[in-house]
Amino acid sequence: MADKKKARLVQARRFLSNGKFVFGGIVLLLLVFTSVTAPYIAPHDPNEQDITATKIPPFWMEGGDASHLLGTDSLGRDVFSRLLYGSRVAMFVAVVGTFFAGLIGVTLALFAGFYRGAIDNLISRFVDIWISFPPILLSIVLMAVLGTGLTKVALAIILVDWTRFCRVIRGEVFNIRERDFILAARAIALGNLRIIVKEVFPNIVPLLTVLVTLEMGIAIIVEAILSFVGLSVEASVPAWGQMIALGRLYIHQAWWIMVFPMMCIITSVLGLNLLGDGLREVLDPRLKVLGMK
Amino acid sequence: MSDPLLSIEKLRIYFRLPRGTLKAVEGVSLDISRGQIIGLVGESGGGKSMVGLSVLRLIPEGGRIVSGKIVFEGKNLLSLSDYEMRHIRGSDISMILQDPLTSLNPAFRIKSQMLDVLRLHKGYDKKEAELVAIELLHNIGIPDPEKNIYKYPHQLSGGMRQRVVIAIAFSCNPKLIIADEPTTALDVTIQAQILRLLKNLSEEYQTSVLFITHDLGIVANLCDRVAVIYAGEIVEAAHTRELFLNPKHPYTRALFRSIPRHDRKQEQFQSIEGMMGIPIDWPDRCKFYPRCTEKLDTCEHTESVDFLAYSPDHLVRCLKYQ
Amino acid sequence: MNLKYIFKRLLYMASTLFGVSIITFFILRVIPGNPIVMMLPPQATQQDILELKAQYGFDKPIPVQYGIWLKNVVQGDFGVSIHMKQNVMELIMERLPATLELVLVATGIALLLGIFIGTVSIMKKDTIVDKLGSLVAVLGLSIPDFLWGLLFVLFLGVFWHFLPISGRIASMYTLETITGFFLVDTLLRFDFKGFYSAFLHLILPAFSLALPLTAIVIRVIKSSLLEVIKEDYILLARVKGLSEKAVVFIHSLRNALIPTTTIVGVQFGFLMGGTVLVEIIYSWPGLGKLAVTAIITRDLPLIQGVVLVLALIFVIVNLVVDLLYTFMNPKIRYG
Repeated sequence: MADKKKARLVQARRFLSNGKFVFGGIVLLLLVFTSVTAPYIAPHDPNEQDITATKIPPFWMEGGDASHLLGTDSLGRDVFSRLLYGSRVAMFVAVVGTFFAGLIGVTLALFAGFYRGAIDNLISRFVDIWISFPPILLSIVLMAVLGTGLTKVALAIILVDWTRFCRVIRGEVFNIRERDFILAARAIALGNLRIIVKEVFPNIVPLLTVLVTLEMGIAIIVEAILSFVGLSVEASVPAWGQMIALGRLYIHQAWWIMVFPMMCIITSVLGLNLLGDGLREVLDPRLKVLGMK
Repeated sequence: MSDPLLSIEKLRIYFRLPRGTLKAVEGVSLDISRGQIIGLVGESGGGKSMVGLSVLRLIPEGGRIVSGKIVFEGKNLLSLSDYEMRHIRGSDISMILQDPLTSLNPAFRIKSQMLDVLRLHKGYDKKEAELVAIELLHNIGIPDPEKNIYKYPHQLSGGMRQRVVIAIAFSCNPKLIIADEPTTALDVTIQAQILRLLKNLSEEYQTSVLFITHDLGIVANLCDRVAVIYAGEIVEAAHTRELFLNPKHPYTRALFRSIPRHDRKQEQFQSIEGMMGIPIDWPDRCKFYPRCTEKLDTCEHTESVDFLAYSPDHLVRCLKYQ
Repeated sequence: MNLKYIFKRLLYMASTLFGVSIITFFILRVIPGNPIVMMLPPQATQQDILELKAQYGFDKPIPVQYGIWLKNVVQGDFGVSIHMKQNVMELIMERLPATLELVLVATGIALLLGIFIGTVSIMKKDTIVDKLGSLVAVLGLSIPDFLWGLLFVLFLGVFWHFLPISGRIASMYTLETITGFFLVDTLLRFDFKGFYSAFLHLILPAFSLALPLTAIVIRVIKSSLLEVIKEDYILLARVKGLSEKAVVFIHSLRNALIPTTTIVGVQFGFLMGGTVLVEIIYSWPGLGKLAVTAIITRDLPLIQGVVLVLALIFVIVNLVVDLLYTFMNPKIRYG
């Protein structure tokens, strides 16, 4: 028992010594923190317009105001507060979108990869056709169909990106399927479903974790893209992509309206990608060992 | 007796691994004279390939030549710059690799893989080089060389490919060829052909060969002298005939015992007990001790065993003969 | 490379396109927002609406509508745009070269940059160049094309007026297009000033698209090179006395390029459908912009046409990539 605990400690230390993992982890934690606490820590109401205080620059610039840390936009709304609230949209989209896209994609992948044959052909065909849709256009079309709104955005992301999970995991299932312990389990005639759940699934978890972090970054980007085209959340909900789209109009006079949400997106996606990289680096050597067995 | 062509002196090659220092080659000394074929025999992991690679200074990443000298024609190769080494590789010293299925680049035709060496070291132009290459292929026993030279490696059989590799090795008339298990991956029937080919070429061009193998049977007809290597050390070295008639080191003798023979009645296959293992953090004593069946009491605690002459030209590293 | 294989592939491609067009057709019928209503003035009567509907064939059942559309498409008639009142095919062909030119140049940049950085990174492992290369790779992957676009616009167009950020060519040029590719057309007429202008206008949008792709190329090249370098035949190349440069750039790269081109080819296909934002940001008159406009105005025939054309390109690109792969891999070509 002490061995198990020791093994976990060693594992934990390996994670913590990986710079990418740490950086990404901090970013993720920060995102979670701001999205949860936004209503409490935001200095202003994100939708509160103030015509007397439009396009105020960030506080360190001339004309800046300490009460509006990062300035205000064209309608006098506080940029900083809007950024904080924007993280809620980002996190919602990232978490919900990724979860369900993963659910659909992984389930189909498990069945396709394990049973192969007709089921695999059917699912793969379906995926092939789905992928032939230009993804950005597909998501725009879906939003046009579904209408605007936060949940609709998440739904659009799910519908567009489940294929990514499906393809990657299917490949991995193929690999795992041929491994000895699976063949042994089948030889003992354990129920297929049981094998899938108890033997195959745990082995795709490392890859899945990496995929999830990647997907979360993609979800945030897709939301931003949709906002840019005006087909994302309602105008009353602050979202980073929306802020960028609006800020772009004032790029000459008030660049900060656009730049800060851009930095938020970049940092978030960068952090998530690095987290995924770090995870892969720590988990991969282990995967290789498993493979050799 | 003139100076040897190649003289390896007390070569040490170590690898720094997370779990300790791997002493792949531990004080190997070996001489090769002009025109000689020297066999280096040992089991996998014994360090023989590493010795061969070190002559060309192509040890894999992570390995360091810690000490020793490799003197070729009077120059210590270990002190040469990379630029100077490149002039020697392929022209003065060449190498034949083990697996013909992977030693040729699958993306290039035979022609380009033969021509690049020729043009690099001999300065031929395209046309001259092609003619020389075709001639080489013909000498090496490849039918229809004009056509086959335009083929891709995967279009040729394993035996053919190995001939090509040998042709490439000999193409610039090297003084020394390092053959690292050149027949291990081939059919037994092809093996004999390749060995004969190698011997003929060596005689014709007066090329010395360092023949690395795990198969004692092969060296009998091919090599002038044989050195047996175990866990990074040479344990015995002698003229081939002498070694076969009179093996002295327990390891060598165990090797001979384990060769199945059709002329003697044998009840069971004799193999050597245990496995060599990986030389990391081994105690200072005879390396073969754990598996030796002819141990003396003193063997367990004697720190190092010298390589001494049992008789002129027959050297053994064993306490039994000190 | 036998005919049977090609035939099977074409069949597969056709069925994929079928699937795409059917799904699009049905999804679009579900869209709220009636294009007809959007076209008529507010005083329009129910009668007017019905008439217009019949004129566009919206009164028939959906499968019938699809059948009619399909019949026309096979004959090359993609219908007329409801909103722009032009032939859909014409509209598409006007904009397609712009997007194509952009994506081709972007892919070219990504390949050159990516292969170079990736290869040098491998050769000079753990040096500054390697670390820089990794940085570029990570940034490229994390910053999507439109953000690069905005960054470039901000720094190179607004703060410093370095490069043009709008359109394909300076407005003073009037062009009769032959191929639709401005770079080609200007050269064909020896209009070097025009060429220069078109070239400048291409830089920022192409780089915006290229950088994320460069990151992918760097990753693929590095990983395939690392695999290749371990191979026996690379050792043999060194044994022959070849320089490190020759070993990497000639022997290793040739093999590492095979999986690279496959991946880049596929990405090219994706890119064709993904230029929307960059086109909007740089006011680039391409297919992406056309598509978004079509979607917003619920211009069904136009959406249908654009989606089909993009899917067709995607499918063709995949076919070309597969053929290229068999071509590049001697084991398959001369099996």
